[in-house]
Amino acid sequence: MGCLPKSKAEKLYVRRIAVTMTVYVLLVFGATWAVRHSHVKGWWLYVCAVVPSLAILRLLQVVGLYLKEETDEFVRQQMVNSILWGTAVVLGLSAVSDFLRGYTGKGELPGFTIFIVFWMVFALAQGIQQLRNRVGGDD
Amino acid sequence: MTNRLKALRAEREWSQAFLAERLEVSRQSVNAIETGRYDPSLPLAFKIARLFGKRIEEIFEDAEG
Repeated sequence: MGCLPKSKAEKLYVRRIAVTMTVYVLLVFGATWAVRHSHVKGWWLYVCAVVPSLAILRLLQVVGLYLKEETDEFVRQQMVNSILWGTAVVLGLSAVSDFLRGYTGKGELPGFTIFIVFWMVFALAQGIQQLRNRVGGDD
Repeated sequence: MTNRLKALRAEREWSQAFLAERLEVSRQSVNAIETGRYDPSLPLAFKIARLFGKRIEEIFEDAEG
């Protein structure tokens, strides 16, 4: 997936990601504001925790939809590679963190680390693949 | 797997962009297939073969074959 959207699926993907991320930011700010200023208590706290998480689930659904709609199998494979890279790094990171916690009682990852690291590695893998598979002048 | 895609394309004086458009894939995909970095699926290989009016084995060759 390059810097500029090309296929119909890619354009849809970029649009869906933009909408989902906007909704996510609004939900995070809304939920945080509600918890801090509206004296939310009891099961409403669970609701405030679940609502922004729905946007994260939607993010994964958007990736799934892209994989379903993208007709270019090579581009699709690159996306799958990036997802695998992201998954491998976060699973490794969380395993190290769990072992460390088990052995030393320390090493707990800060909140949202897994989420942030996954998307950072995903983006990095996409960039590296783009660089590796870049095409020069046409002949 | 090796292939003759680049040679066949050159014979017809087609650009990568033109071939990509005909195959409904990206130019990146055509380039990756031509350079042997990616082996296409059977449906795409059939599509390529149909476009060039050849059999799959006339374009793609198993490296171990």
